[in-house]
Amino acid sequence: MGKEGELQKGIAEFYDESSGIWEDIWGDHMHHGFYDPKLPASLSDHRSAQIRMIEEALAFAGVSEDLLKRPKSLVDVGCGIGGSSRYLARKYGAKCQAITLSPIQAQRAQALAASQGLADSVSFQVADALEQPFPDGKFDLVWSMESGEHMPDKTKFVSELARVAAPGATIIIVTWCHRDLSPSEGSLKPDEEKLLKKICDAYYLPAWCSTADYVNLLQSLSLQDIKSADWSEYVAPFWPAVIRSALTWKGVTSLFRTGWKTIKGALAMPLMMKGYNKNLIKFAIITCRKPE
Amino acid sequence: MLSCNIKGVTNGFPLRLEVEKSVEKEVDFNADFLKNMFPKIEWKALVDAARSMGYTELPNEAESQMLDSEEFLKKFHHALLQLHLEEGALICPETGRRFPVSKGIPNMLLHEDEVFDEVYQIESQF
Repeated sequence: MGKEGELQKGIAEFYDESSGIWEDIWGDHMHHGFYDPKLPASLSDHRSAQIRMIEEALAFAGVSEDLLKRPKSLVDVGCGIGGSSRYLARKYGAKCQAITLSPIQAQRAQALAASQGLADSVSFQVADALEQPFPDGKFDLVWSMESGEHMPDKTKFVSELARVAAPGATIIIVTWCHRDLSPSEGSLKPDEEKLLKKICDAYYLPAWCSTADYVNLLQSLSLQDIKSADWSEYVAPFWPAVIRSALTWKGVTSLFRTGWKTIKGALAMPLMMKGYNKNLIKFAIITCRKPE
Repeated sequence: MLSCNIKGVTNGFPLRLEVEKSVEKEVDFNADFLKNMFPKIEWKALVDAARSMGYTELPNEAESQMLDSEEFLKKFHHALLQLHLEEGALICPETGRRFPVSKGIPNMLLHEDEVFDEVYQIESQF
């Protein structure tokens, strides 16, 4: 099995193993919450923060809520257990396709959709974001919420997002990046590379790129209206909260019931905090529009 | 809406259905939803798919005027939303490749030799 095949298998197994415990403690959104930097965040705020993240991303990208202009078909690339898919389908009254590498996630996502009366609006399949099983130009909104960090080939990832986007569609990428390199730098410093490598091993992440790299890719594909921002300060309370939840009695006993991959992931959480604190890791949003 | 994405396949849509187990589910009728979806549907593909599941009530061709007919909408609703493939496969019309469907979830992952990767191809020659 080639390197990419192994990465895919690792990602699928990681999420097959850990999705249940995440959902148990955190619910059906598997992404960072968006917080007001001036206010303290309590545990009960996290779910609404995760929903706020979705709304802030849509607002940043300028997605219209107007009945005629709103997206009618969407794709959720790297959908987890479908939190975003169901939320967006419900919000816009649209049809949503979603893909994940994890069969267990796809199953759970479909079951949740059915129980929420959304089985007709959202459908999930096991598929590769680098080879999306959709024809060109199908979707008005192309959504990638914290899945980009798993993509080993960022060029292919971004060009697939652009390919399946309809003319005039909006593409939204929210992802972990490393800091932009200064003009004199050819690469990150050795200690920075070392820290990222440890995180990559725990979370089945291939090499990281910067926000600027994403912007360049979108530019090279002649996409328009390209915007990007560093939202690291708005997600700061998230990792400490996840760590605290893992250290509760429920968290610890659940972890022991899952498997080594999940435990390794949990142990790597302080590394994420370290990366943010060193301004090495950035929580980035990059959006654009496909020309009409 | 899925299409075959094996490299080099130019005619990968629509996928044919191989039905081992199909299920009919009750879904609330929503005329507006159907009218919005109609322009996005490849009608012939829907007719063929419904037929493979044993539903032959759809007309071979459809125009937007037909959306005014309640009878037509009910048939459209049934085919689009209430018929589900639980177990079976989706088949590429060009290569015959089977994408398995299990518990209603299609697995569209390609095998490594179905993905054309320039570097991989060149490396494998050495």
